[in-house]
Amino acid sequence: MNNNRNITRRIRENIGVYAIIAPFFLLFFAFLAVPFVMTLIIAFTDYKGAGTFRFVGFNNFIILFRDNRTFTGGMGNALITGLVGLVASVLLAWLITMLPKILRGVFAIALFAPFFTPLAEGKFTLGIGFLAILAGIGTIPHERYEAAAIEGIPNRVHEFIRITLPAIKPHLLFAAVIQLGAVIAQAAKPHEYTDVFEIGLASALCLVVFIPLLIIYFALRKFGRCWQD
Amino acid sequence: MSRILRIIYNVIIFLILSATALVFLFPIFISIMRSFTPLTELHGAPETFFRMPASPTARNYADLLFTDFELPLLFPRYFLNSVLVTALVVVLQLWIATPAAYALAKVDFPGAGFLNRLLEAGLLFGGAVLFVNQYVVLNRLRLINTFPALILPLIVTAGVPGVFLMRQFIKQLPDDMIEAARLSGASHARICRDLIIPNIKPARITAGIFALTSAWYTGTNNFVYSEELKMLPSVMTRINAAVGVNSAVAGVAVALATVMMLFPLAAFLIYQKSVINIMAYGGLK
Repeated sequence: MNNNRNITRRIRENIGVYAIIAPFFLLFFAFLAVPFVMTLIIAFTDYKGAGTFRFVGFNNFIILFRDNRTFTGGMGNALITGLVGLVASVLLAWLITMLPKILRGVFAIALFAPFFTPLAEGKFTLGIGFLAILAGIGTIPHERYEAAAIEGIPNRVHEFIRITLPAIKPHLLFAAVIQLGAVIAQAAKPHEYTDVFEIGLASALCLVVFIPLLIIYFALRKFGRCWQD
Repeated sequence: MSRILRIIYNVIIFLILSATALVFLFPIFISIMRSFTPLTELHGAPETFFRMPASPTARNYADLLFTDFELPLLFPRYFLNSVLVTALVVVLQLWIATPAAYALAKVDFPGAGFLNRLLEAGLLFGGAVLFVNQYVVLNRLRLINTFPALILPLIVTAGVPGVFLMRQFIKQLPDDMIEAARLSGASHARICRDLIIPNIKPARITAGIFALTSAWYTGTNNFVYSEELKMLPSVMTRINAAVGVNSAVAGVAVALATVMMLFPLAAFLIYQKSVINIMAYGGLK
């Protein structure tokens, strides 16, 4: 009881905070949270965009896994593209940070510029994850490398594997979420189903797309401090 | 010895990166060159193969502007729609997202933890997987085929990465500064305006550029059916589809492709310093 009154008091004290976050979070709920919850429900129905619908259990998911338009082809390619992009981001960022300072900026701009051009099918660009990794490598203190040199690390490749990679783990995970999220969402093509008003199927597809992202997200929260502070 | 080795290393790295940069930038270069190639030369030339235009021309751009090619309305109408929607999305997004980012980063209020987790989860989905049910929500609000239908969903889907970025950046600001302002009686809105905004300029610029890019290319054409409300991405889809049927559209298509990438690319080049540096300070740690 006392606790309840306490919370009410704290809410009243913070009324100004709720006022300033309201515009953003109202839109966030209306166009992200609510549609997501609806997806969660409709995925288990045979909703066709109008009229009544009924719950069909996991039927939509079974149909999806049998339809090779979406999964076997598209998803596999998307995952490979995403992983290649991630590896390329790490390697290119690593190479850039080894150069003298003046050149770093030039290459960062040149390599990131294609991000701002239209995405075509199968076209490959470095994403926001590349910038995060670049920054991550840039903030590793120099003493770490000096200490390793004294201990006797034979070459730069060893240095990369033993020092650089572990130090940028949070950045890597952030990059993985963004990169894989983008390619998977793009490959999912719910349009193929919405165009024929199979809203239930399209929602199931969105949900399946969401699961690998959710796993990465929890990995992030567990291993990466980056979300906390 | 080791100095020479180091120079050799750097030269090799420089060459590798230069080659990669060329491969990355080549499509942009081709696109610009093709847009100045006359229609007669375009025929038969494969898209990826590069050939300097023998007689460069601005004709493709003139055609794009003044002829009613395969679409019901003239190009400037769609272009203005796109510019207006993108500008409004960026401005409104920054305007409402900055206070939210500040509150999530620095204020301890009931529900702060929940809203923070919600924002992080929101980072995971792009608009593509949500648009079906965004349609349903807009329909309920009776906004289908209205101007707000173009803007409101985009503020969220194009804006979430920006809010996340700003939140991380604001977290790095010293707490005492904000506490002192609170003690002297400043409201949260006031702190946000006078203290936070002036201190997170690069983060806001970067958030703005990401929102611009995302809004410019996404275009919520699924939520409107009046031709007067359509934007460039829908024009691009239809023109590219028309090229296969009517080869006369090829010139317009190449000009359009170049116009499309002009704005986001220009915004990035103007503010590249903020975008490239932003992650180093704030972002992740």
